Amino acid sequence: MTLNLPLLVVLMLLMTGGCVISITARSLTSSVVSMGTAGLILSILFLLLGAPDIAIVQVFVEIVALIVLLSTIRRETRADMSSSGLYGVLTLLIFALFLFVFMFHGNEIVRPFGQPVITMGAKYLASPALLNAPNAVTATVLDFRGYDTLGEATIIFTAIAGVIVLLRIKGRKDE
Amino acid sequence: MIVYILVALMFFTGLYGIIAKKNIIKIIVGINIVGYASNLLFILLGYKWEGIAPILTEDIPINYFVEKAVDPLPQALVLTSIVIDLAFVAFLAALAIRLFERYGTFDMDKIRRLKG
Repeated sequence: MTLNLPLLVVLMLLMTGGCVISITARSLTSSVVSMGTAGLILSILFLLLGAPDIAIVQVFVEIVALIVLLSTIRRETRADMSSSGLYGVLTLLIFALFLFVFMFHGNEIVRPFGQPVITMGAKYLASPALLNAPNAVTATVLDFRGYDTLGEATIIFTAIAGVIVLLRIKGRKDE
Repeated sequence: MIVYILVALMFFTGLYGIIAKKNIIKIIVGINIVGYASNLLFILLGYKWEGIAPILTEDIPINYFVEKAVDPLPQALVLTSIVIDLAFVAFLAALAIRLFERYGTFDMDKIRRLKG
């Protein structure tokens, strides 16, 4: 299936709608579930944009995050009405400022969509011949950017250690 | 250009959730949405029209592959970022569970009272 601009825009509009609903919904359950919807549409977008590895990872991560958040809010599903109006106006002003700048200087900030200049990636793309690895993304993650992956593993280890420390059932024994 | 504006709209929706909402779950959802928007921005910046996935099969010649495949570098970065987002959300959810056990609510205004 090839990608064209209207399909991309429609999918992104659906995803933006999911995001808006998940922020403005009153019930916490519908908020979390619409966030999951947006994440699944995001994985379809990744698939269409030529990134099947990331689509698979996104589906997996989305479902795990949904389970974690749903098991968090099973304690309370009371309606959430609270928000602070001042900050909403502030966000709207920042967005308007961004739109204003982007309208006039967008061509200097980013390249037009679909016409990137691939400099470093071209060397990585030649890697299948170099490393005998068919998947260029895997070659990038595990070989060219191996230090980044090491840092990622460190961050994940730290976060999981934090979760275990926070959620342990037993406290100290010497009390 | 419209795709970048939509990504920005998504990003600012999440930002609004982070700074204006008083419910902790809404803040976690907002952080997640900001993560979606930035991941999608990276992939959009690496896409080229009629691009193919950067996976070399045996029937594709290498020169055609280097010319047509999308940029693998943003994909590698996003692959890292997605997993870190998950760990971060799990950590925030653990904090929210502990706060709920202590205060009995997810509302920031009620949590602000000192207790204990």
